Amino acid sequence: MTVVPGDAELLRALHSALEPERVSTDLANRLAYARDASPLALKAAAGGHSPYLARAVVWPQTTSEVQAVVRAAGTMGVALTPYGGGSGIVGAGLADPDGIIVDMKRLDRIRAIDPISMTATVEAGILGAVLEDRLNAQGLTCGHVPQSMNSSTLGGWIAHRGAGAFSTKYGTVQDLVLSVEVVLPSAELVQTRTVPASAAGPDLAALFVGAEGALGIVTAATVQVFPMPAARVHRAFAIDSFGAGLEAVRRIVQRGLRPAVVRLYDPVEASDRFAGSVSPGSSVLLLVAEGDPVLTGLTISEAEVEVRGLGGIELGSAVGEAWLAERTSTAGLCRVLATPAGIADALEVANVWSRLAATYDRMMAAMGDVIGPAGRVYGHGSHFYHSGGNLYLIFEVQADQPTDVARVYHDVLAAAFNACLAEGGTLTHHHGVGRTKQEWLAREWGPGGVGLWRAVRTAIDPEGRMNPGTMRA
Amino acid sequence: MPDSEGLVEAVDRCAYCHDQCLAGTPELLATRNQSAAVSRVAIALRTRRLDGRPWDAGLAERVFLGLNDGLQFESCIYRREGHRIEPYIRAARAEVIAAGLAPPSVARVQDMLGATGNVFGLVEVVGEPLVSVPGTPILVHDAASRALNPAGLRAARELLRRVDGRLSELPVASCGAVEADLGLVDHARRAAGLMLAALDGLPPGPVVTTDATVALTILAAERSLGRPVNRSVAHLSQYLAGHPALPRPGRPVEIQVAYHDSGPLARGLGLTAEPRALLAAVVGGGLRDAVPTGRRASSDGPLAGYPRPDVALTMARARLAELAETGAEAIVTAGPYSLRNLRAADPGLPVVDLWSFLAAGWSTEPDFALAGLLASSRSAIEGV
Repeated sequence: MTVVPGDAELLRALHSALEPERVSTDLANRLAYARDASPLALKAAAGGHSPYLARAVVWPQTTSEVQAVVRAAGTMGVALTPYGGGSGIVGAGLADPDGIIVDMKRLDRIRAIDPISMTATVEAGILGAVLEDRLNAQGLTCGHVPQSMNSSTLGGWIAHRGAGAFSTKYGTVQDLVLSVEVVLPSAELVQTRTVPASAAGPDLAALFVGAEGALGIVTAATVQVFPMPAARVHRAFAIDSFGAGLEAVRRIVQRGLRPAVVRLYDPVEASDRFAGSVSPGSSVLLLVAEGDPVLTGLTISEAEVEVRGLGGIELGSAVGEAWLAERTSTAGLCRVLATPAGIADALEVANVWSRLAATYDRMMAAMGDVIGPAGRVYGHGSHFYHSGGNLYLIFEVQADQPTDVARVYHDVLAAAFNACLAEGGTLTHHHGVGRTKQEWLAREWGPGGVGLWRAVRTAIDPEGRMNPGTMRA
Repeated sequence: MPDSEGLVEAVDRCAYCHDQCLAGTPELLATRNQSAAVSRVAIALRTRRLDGRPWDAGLAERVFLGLNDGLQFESCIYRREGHRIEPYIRAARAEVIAAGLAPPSVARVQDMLGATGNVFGLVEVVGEPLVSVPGTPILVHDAASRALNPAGLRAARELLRRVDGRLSELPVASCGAVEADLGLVDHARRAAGLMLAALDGLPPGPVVTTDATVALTILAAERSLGRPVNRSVAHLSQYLAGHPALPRPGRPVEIQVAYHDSGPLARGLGLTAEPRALLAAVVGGGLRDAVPTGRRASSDGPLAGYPRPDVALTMARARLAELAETGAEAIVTAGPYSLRNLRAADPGLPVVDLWSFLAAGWSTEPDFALAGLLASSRSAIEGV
């Protein structure tokens, strides 16, 4: 049970950790951190209401200051929620109402680049676009390019086990992170070893990748980096059905071909995104290969053979260009969220190849049943692997009235996740669980998994002070 | 905030946005405080309007903290629809000023405008052409160039004489850009109106300016005031880069320089290639580009009246670090405000205006002239 000390006492404790100007209990600051990009929190905050108003916001700028903050919060028995760019879409960055927001954006230094090993050691609060710019200046790229590149941080990517659009070549964050520096709830510092692989027991770094700040605050990480690609080629194909598209992608990746971007749009999203370039009813498969010119050319030409073999017809370059130009846009979702009774979200699930098409069909049907004529559901696949892939099921719906929005949102998510879990899939591929999806986490993990998670969490954070609102199972 | 120009809708769009402009928000990058995010400012404006609350000093400072230099627009999810934040921020600033809550920095600008007609306190006779030769380019400048980059202005005259033989020149007190940005709407309209009236009285000839804010203001005033100037308006880099009498490049001078895109020039006028082409003709392969660059170049700081000099300094220092990382021996920029902002931040290497650099580079002994220019700039930095 968290004890709520008086504000003066709390401020005194935090001032012992940080300079006073980097501690704030000002309402304007607290309101600014009372939302992330999760749909309900975003709508509530835009309307001037938020149930996630922290008691204080702090801005540490070194690892030792993070330790000092954790120590001070421990003394006061106050919860902590790390905050990066606020781009999370599942509510993991939302504060405990009696807690403290720890804005990590001042920890944004690149500590070292090892050009021989192609690694960079970077502090967790750096914004993705800033990291990429700094690496680009050295002729490097981080290879991780999520849609939220301009608004998310390295720490957020790690906390959510993120995946970027170019992941089929570069991997997701779990592949990219070699080691982490973490401040535990005890304020103790853990630094895992930067090695390409290790059999020294379970991977300790992996414990914090995807933990959403529930086990500690990641302050820095060593990640793989890559040379700036010398070549980039894109091709887009119209294909008769989403199922045929999935089959083409399976053949591509199981042949060992690794285009950086592999995106398969269903007919609804394809005609929305690429109007004028694609006939109604067609799915669209977009491939972008980059890197070494020889390998890039070979990857695209061989992938093309597979797509054509399944009836794919090449579209012009406009599709790839349109995607590259607009790939970070979430305007479609935001427009719906801005309407009084509108709600929208992109649910990203994953499954193995043998059940991927069925997962898509079943989720589409279940969500469509709930949404009915009040909205629509559509989707695409992205982030593919030898054994399966990720599907985005995107929905937009208008509730009867604004007070119904939360219920409708929940109903759609319940239908979607129940369908996904029934097919054996996971309810999140890279957005994480947060507050939004935790209701279904126990079903995905089962009693054994839940027990294990609780035991781990309690062992590391016995007082339950690290981001307590997230991943409760 | 008036709804007549769709400002309420624009605020709503930002309030419900996913913050894709976060990494393009200079004041957020400088403060690391989420309250500086465009969406958070929009939410504060929206809820104040919906609740009918009066302005308070905290929100007043936040609306003046925005740099408004167009950087957010480069990653705005509504950019295809022409969505901009500047109109509603400026409207909010006007309301704050009307409510008597202008930050002291803005009040000082108001005082200066009242006393001298410009924000730099220059006492001078303006509004009449210094030289007027029909058919020649008209070099239009306001107090910003005269106060912040007088050497560059002299060099610009030299460059124009070099390619055209003669020029006309129109000094005005203010083009109105700073006033418009600060929400001093009446001052801005008056300044722009006086500038256009002065231009009306001049014989035919294209307008050329060394300050992108002057060109932008003329082009905007044509639209907003309905006053066509009936002559072409160009930034000097644009004018020179397309000029048939441009000096032919000789042997490149062996100097490594990094070019910094000023916001008004790169994002306002969209001119990124022209200044580089002019520079490259002098230094050849010695032209370096920082990352990010072009329209996405990091901001160097504000125009004037900024409430937080510490934040402005942080912005300039961050940009200088990016420019220094190129290994350049000097930084070149074209905007008077950029020149001031970068020079004020202990740059550690010479920061030179484009016009002085080109004038030296076009001289008969460019190596010697450029070495001298950089040495004098370095001495100025070191206080020698």
